Amino acid sequence: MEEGDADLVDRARRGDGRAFETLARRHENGLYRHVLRIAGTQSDAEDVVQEAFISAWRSMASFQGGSFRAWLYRIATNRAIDLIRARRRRGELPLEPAEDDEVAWAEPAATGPDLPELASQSEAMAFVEQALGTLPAEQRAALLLRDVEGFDYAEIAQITAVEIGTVKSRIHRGRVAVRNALVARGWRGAGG
Amino acid sequence: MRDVHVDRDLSAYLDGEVAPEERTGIEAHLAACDRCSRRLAELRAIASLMASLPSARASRSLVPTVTERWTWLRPVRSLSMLASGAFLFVFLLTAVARTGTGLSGAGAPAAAQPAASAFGAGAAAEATSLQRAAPAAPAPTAPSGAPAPAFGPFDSAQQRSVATAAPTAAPNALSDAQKRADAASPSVAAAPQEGILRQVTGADAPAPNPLLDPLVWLKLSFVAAAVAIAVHVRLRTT
Repeated sequence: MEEGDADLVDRARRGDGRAFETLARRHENGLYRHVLRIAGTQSDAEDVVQEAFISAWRSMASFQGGSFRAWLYRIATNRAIDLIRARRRRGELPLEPAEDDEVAWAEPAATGPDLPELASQSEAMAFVEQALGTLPAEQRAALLLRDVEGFDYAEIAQITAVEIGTVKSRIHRGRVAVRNALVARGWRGAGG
Repeated sequence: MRDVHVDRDLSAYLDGEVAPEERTGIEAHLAACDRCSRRLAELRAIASLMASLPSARASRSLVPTVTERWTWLRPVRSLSMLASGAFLFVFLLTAVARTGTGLSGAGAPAAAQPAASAFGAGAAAEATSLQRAAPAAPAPTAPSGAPAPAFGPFDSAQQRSVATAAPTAAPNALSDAQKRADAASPSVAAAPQEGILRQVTGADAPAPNPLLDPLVWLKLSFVAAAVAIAVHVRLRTT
C-alpha cells in the first residue's frame, strides 16, 4: 500500500468520510488521466471517475487490503472499458480491433527524425496519443497502467483480472503498435 | 547465448519482469544480436515517450462529498420530535383539565339562582350574590333557555362571549334588585353596579396562567413539529 494511504484507508473502512475524500483527492488526477485515455472523452472520463469513487466508498468495508490505488484503478478501468463496449454495441464507436497474437515490427524509414528529436516535439506526443487510440481497450489499459501509471505486472493482472502472461503480452504488443505508428510517421527508429 | 531472437521477452525484460535465469539468457543474446538490441532501444524509447505524455486535468472536482455536513442536526431533529409529542401531551392534559373546569363552572348558575331569588335577604346581599354569579353564569344570559356551552374553555372567543354576555343578564337581574335597593338605600345600590363593571372589564380578575392554556401547548407542539420536519428535509437533501 502506498505510504500515507494505510492510515487513511483504515479510517475510511471504519466509515470516516473525510479520510476517504482525502484519499480520493490524492488519486483523482491520476485516475482521470488514465480513464480519459480509455474512455476517450472528457465528460465520459469525469463521469466514470466520479462513479468509481462513489462505488469505492460504498464498497470500502469490503476492501480486503493490498494496494488501495490498484483497487481504485481496477474499479475505474472496468467501468471505462464497460462504457466503451456499450457504446460500441450501440454503434456509437467503431468496432474494436482484435488482439493479434502475432507482433509485426514495421521497417523504419532509412531517413527521418531520431528519437531524441521526436521526443522534444509536442507533435510526437500527439502521434503517441493517436496510436494509443487505435489499440484494443484491454491492451491500451495494460500499456497505460504500466508506462504511465507505473504499476508492475502483478498489479496490472489484478486490476484487469487476467493472468500475468496476458499482461506481458498486451504490454509488449501495445508498445510495438505505438512504435509502428511512429515509424509510419517517419521515425527512423533506434540506431538507424 | 540463445540462438532465437528474444523479441517477445523484450518488454518484460525492460520492465524487470523476467526471472533471473531467463534474464541471463536474454542478456547473453542481446550482447550478440544487433537486431534485438535495436528493438530493445526502440521499446525503451516508446516507454519513455509514454511516461512523458502530458496529463490532462478534469474540468471539475471529481471527488464526491461522502461526509455528512449536517450531522449535528440529527439530535435537533430527535429533540424536536420528542418536544412536539410532549407538548401535544400537555395540551391534551390541560384541555381535559379545562373541560372539567368548564363543566363544573356550568353548574354555577344553578347555584346562583337561589341566591338571586332570595330578595328577602336584602338588596345589598342580593347585589353581592349577583356579583359572584355574573362572571361564571352564562345560563342566565340565555333568555330562551338555551343550555350553557360546555366546551367553552377551548374557545377563547366563546369565553369572551360568556364574559360579555354576563353583563347583559346582570343588569336585568339588577334592575329589580336596584329598584328595591333604591328605596332602602341609594348609596348601597351603587355598589353592585361598580362590582359588575369590574367583572365586565376584568380589572380585578387574576391574570390567567399561560401554562394552563391548552392553546399555548398546541402552538408549541406545532412549532416543534415544524422544526423537526424542516431539519428532516435538510438532512435528506444533504
